[in-house]
Amino acid sequence: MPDDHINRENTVLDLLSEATSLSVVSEFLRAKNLTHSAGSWKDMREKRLLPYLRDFSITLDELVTLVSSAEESGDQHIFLFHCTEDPLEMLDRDGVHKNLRRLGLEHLINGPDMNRMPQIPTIVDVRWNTADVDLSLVVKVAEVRAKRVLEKERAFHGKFIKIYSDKPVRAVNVAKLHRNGVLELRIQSHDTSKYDADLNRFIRLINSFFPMTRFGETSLSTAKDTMWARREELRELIRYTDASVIDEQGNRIRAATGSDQSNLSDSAAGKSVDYMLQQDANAYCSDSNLWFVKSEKLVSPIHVLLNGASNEFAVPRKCSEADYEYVFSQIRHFNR
Amino acid sequence: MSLAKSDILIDEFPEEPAAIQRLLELLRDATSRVGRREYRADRLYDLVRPSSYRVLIQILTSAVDKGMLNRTFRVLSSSGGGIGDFPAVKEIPLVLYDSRMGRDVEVSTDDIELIFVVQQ
Repeated sequence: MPDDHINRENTVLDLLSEATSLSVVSEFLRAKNLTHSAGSWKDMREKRLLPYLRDFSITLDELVTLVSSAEESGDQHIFLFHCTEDPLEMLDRDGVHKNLRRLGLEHLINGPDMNRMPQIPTIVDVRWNTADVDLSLVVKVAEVRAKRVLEKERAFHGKFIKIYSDKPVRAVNVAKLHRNGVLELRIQSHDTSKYDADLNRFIRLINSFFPMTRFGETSLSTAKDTMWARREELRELIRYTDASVIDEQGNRIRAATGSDQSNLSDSAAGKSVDYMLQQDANAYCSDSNLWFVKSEKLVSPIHVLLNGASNEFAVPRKCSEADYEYVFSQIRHFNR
Repeated sequence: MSLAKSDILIDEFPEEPAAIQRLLELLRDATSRVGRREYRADRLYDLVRPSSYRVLIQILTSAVDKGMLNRTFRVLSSSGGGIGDFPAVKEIPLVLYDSRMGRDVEVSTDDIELIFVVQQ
């Protein structure tokens, strides 16, 4: 087998382990009726993927597609916007191609750039999701971030020193404009909770595709209130582990389950949050920590944080594209 | 609340008349009641409903400059609740006594929350 093919194979398998989860790859194999269990990435690579590539049960192009879709789903903070003008102009293929040429990115017209670790934040994919018409336009930016890991601590001449190493990791941010004018800006998660700077940097990069003066933030407060209020009825769909409510004096109540496997729906702690909401018309659900429960429509349970900015939610762990789309549609449904 | 200040705010944001009216109503209501009222920016976005978050921040900045409400940066304890309010981020010390935990804590940017305050 030629070296360049093996190198590409290794790059794709490396990206797969960095960008997805074992359950995502396992689900991909299961859908092809192949043995899909693996206890570790090493097993998945050596006992499943490499043998399947060798006997042509799967192709490298399929894994490339899996990487592309999976690295765009989960492990992200998602910011929702709505278009205040006609969104179709921004989906127009001629206009987008013209913009790509103006930016010197015309090579993306033929397909994504598989540059694993670009030196600067770079637009690596611009594509449409299409049925009879173009349903959405996706603009993907890859960047290299430094993941800081504590290596050692030591006392030195009366000072206490912590030494960190910076490990470069690939991060992917995604903008997706839907035909109905909904815009998702998905920022890959990092170790701190503030995303304003990341969001502003990303907006500057994609502004020529989606000028942000044409969009307003979509508050998720209706979804937060509705899902919490209907939690008993929705217990087969949603499990709450934390919920916070704040009043106008800044007082707050936070209800949290003892185990992260429990459900606030069962508890008096959850009812204490209801009590505050009932007693004070100005109190509101500020933060929620919940799980969408595994079902026929959801392959794995999906953890969702509803906190931060008014238009922000987070899916902290990697998941399949189908699971992400299901959760996203549910949140939008409850936000009506 | 000074009528002149309200009028100036309305004039400053002619494309946001409904949002300005909602903010002024909220300020009137809050100042008519005893005690202090405080709001996170995300809550004000829901209550004021401006065309965008960027516009909301512009409106609030102008309202703060006119003394119609105050802005404060609150450091939150990991146990919940505030442990110190500061007029600017640069005035927040690296280490702060956490009265809710009974010990000094290092302050991280994750612990800081922007609050808008209305006092009668």
